[in-house]
Amino acid sequence: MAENNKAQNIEAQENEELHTLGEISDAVEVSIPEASKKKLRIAEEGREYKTFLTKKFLERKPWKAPDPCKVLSHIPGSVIEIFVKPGQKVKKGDKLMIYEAMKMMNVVTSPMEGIIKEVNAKEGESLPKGALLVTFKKK
Amino acid sequence: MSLLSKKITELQERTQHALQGGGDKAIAKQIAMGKLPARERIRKLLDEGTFYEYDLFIQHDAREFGMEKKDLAGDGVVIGTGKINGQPVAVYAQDFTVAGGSLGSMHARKITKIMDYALKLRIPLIGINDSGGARIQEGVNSLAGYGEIFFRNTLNSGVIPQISVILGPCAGGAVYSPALTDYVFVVDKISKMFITGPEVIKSVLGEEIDMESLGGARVHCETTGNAHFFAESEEECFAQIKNLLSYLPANNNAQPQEKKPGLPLKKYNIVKTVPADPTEPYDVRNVIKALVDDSEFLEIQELWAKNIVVGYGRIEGRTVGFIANQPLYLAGVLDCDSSDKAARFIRFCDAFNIPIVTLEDMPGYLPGVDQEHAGVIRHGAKLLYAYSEATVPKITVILRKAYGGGYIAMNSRHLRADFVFAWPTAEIAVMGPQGAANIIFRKEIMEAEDPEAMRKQKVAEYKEKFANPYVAASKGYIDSVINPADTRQFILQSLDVSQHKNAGMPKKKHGIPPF
Repeated sequence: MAENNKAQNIEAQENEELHTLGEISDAVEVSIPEASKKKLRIAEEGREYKTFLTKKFLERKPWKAPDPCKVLSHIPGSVIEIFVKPGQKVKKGDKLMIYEAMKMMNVVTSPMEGIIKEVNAKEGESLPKGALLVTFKKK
Repeated sequence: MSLLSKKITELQERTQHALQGGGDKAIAKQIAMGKLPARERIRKLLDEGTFYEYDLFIQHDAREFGMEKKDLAGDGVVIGTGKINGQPVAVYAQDFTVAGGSLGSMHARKITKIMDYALKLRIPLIGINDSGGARIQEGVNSLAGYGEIFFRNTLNSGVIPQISVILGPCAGGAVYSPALTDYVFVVDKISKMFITGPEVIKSVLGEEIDMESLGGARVHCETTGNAHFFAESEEECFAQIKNLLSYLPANNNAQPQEKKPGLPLKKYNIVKTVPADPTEPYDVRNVIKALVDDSEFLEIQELWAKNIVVGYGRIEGRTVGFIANQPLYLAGVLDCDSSDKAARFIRFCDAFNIPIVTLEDMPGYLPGVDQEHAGVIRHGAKLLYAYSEATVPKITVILRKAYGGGYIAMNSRHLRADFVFAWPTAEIAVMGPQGAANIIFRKEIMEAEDPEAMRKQKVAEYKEKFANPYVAASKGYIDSVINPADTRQFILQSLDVSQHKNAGMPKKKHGIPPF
């Protein structure tokens, strides 16, 4: 019993705080206090549940709408050759660059018709996944 | 008027009343939303004049909140049997014009009835979903109804093909019926699927997102992988369903209908499609089209996990399931999503006696923290499990790259592939020449006067010696090194000699795949 308590205490310390979490349904009214992003309080009609929040939940990234004007890398790799310049008009499917990744010379093609605003990647550069390669002018 | 004609007139009046659904106003509203009424959908989906409806006179039995005074035609769902491509099917369609297609206990009982018929008759089940969700007035009875449906989806799984068509909202718990079925069809701007909607997400987490970006047709086809087929219109969607069913058997003890054999079209030239240089990408779908009858290939989940291609084609008139690494996307690597996609497809093929042909050209697993932390070990294991477990004829053709763990996973001899062939361009090795040479010859490279020159020399040596199909062939891990132009012939003869294949698994209640 004593050991059990000890284990729980350790867990509580690691999580710092015990949070309250209510039933999540359409009827729920909730608020995330500005003071601490680690606190989540969800209450339904005055009813509250106490709970720990997981590390994964606390570290999650909020969803952001993707910007259609930005072409990002889908895989870690390196830029071999760039075919476009700022100001250039391109059609959907036109070759933007050769991007080497996983033993393959991948062709990055244009996702839309438009004008190139900026070429953000440089030839020879090694990039992670999600790196900005090319920016289009906003329509 | 005779007594009989009076009775018949009464039947006609009752039928007429029930067939009105939610009435003209509600039907006009449904059409204004770009959606067809439920019976119209069934008519367009099935062969002409084959639909027979059951339980038209079902009444709901709710007695709370003034429900006892409400007349809900057919309780908001249409069920029946009919034919597609001349083959019998069971079908249900929720009727959004009646109480928003909400699911009460009798509504659910109609659905479970047609599900039981489908199982008993061993025919495919098609469910058209268009519902606001649980009928709140019916409380826990409504939840019980969902549970009964989910249970039957599981019971029917692997016995009859189950197809879900999302033609309207399908939210909250209701999404789990489609999720348990084999193929989910969605239509742009019409289908909406999510567990919690944009409003709840905003109030709980403060994240703002519109319904289309959260759970629209495109999202489920491109991002979540929940849906298998994307259509621009309901008509296109019905054509897709008919096409899919033409490849499938009615049940797990039947064979798919055979079609008149045809040759691949001349414009798909297998030799010209695949570049001999392993660093050059190509579209592997053109290889499949060069192998199948009339070059007809039905791709499944073509917008999700594009680095692997799965789908059906026919060889000499018989359905074959194809799985192919796609060098055109992400260099054809294996990752969480592609493993998941292929594993599910393999299990369907195995359950329904469809032989599997694997086309391999794969540099390995995608490196990255996000992949490791997303559980690529666990997801990748699904692919190994599904291939190992499958007892249908399994044929592998190695086109170019087959490296490391990916070589094992892509239906290798070691997972009990029946026939493994390799093209002369195949590279079957424990890892790429660069990596391997750096490890094996680390000392020589470090101690050399010009380490870079030594490294290059050792990479070339390794490539010459090991990046080919002949080491694996010398061990019998592949059966033949073949001329790419003969691939269809080799697949055809392998399928031919595998007709009476009898390979079992040890007797058990069921395996425990890593899901």
